[in-house]
Amino acid sequence: MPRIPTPWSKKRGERSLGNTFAGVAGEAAFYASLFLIGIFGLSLVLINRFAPDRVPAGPADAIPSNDLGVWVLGTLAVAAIMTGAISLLFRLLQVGASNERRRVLADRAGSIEMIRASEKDSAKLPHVPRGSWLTDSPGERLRYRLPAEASEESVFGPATLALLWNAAWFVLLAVAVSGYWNGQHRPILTGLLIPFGAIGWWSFRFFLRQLRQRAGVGSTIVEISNHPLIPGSSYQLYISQIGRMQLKRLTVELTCEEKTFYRQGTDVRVERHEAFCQVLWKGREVLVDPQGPWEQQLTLTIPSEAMHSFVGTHNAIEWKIVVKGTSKPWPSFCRNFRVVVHPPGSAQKASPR
Amino acid sequence: MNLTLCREDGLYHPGELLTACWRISRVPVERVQGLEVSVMWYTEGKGDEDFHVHHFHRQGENQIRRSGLSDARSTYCKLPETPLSYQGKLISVRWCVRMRLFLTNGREIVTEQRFYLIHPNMVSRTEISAHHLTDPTVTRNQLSIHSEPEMNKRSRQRIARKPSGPSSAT
Repeated sequence: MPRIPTPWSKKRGERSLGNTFAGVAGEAAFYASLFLIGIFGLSLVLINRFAPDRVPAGPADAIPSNDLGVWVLGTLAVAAIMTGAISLLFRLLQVGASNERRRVLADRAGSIEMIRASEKDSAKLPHVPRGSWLTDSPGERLRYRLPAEASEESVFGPATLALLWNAAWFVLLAVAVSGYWNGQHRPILTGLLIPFGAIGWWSFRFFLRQLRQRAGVGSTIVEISNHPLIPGSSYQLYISQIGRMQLKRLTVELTCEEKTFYRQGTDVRVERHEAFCQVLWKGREVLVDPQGPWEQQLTLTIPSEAMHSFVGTHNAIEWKIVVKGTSKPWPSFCRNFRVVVHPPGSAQKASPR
Repeated sequence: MNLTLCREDGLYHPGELLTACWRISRVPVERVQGLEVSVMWYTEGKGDEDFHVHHFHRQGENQIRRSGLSDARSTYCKLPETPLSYQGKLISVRWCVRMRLFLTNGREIVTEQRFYLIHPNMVSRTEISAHHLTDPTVTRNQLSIHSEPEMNKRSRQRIARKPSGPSSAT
């Protein structure tokens, strides 16, 4: 007995159990309808605007007569036309071409110099990060000073929250005080000022804690004798920790991390896995003084069988030098310094200096 | 469809020449609309798939009808320096030669032959494991190239409806 076609099917990740052609036809029909509805809406707006006397009384009443309504309907109609047309064209372009062929066409278009400057280095070692941003800062002791990766916990969010919330609280306070002066008491507003003030105080303390974590711990300096790194080669590494603190533990590690992005429903998630970890230095009760920063010169050897750095659209393999410290009363810190590992046999660039 | 590589062990070094040969049998030439052969890499693992086509060869309907299907055909390319084959926990980078045969009824036949792009300096997996077991500073290591001698014998062949999904025809 033939199955009755259903307009829906269960989605399982990238796979679906429905008829692919029906899916394409459904999508095309939806975008075409959206485009046509947009045309209809825009036509109504234009007719009502420029030739209202030629329209019979009935349909013309359906269009908003005020300017705001006309603008809203016109904007929605234009948005529907553009969404429908672009999505329909994009979907139709995907029909009848394999993934490989589409990728080849996209790569050819991307390699045109007018669109993207040609990069000799990336052509020689495709999908290996160039790492030019790592070698633009000279070091004091060794050749290059590595930049620290920006922390994912930014202080701007807590600062904005504390500032806006407390600003709103002060405005409400001003309203309440002016009410008392003018004899218009506002007891509900005055009562609300207490819990709102408590939230403001909490947000301000949270901001201060984040600021202390960011600015309280002195900067970490990492310098390296050469870059990019080649498997099997050894490099000199200079580490310095500035500030005033007594660190319970301090660790310097060389790590290789697999990083992958994937979609889960409508969210984009990131997952990391430490594929390799080599402890370069580990110490306890490390004293860091403003007059005498903690300094260490180490030798770093990349394993000869190590995978090179890799970067794709959704996946990456990243090498890092990680400096971790645990201290009291300052919060613990972890700073990452990215390095790029090339495959064995790649020629290292001479220093520009 | 029979797709073979020039090296039986399927191990290639960067910059080497790869030759892929194919032969199609028991498919009438009038039923074939097109043929594509791609030398490419793709990622496997938890994340969304990345892939890149290094070499692409396409034969249209007229070209196939002129040359026929019975004879063995081949294409070749010079392999790039990177990315090397990699087997990790979250990510694996795999190289393959993928052939798609487009039929006039809208169906596709896909076959794939995997190979490994490794550097000559890379040592075998067993040597790497032994090295890291004796090194106390190495805590975790997934950085080995998995050499599988039997891999060239594996060839996956699939039939898919047209058009295919975003990753590959299933």
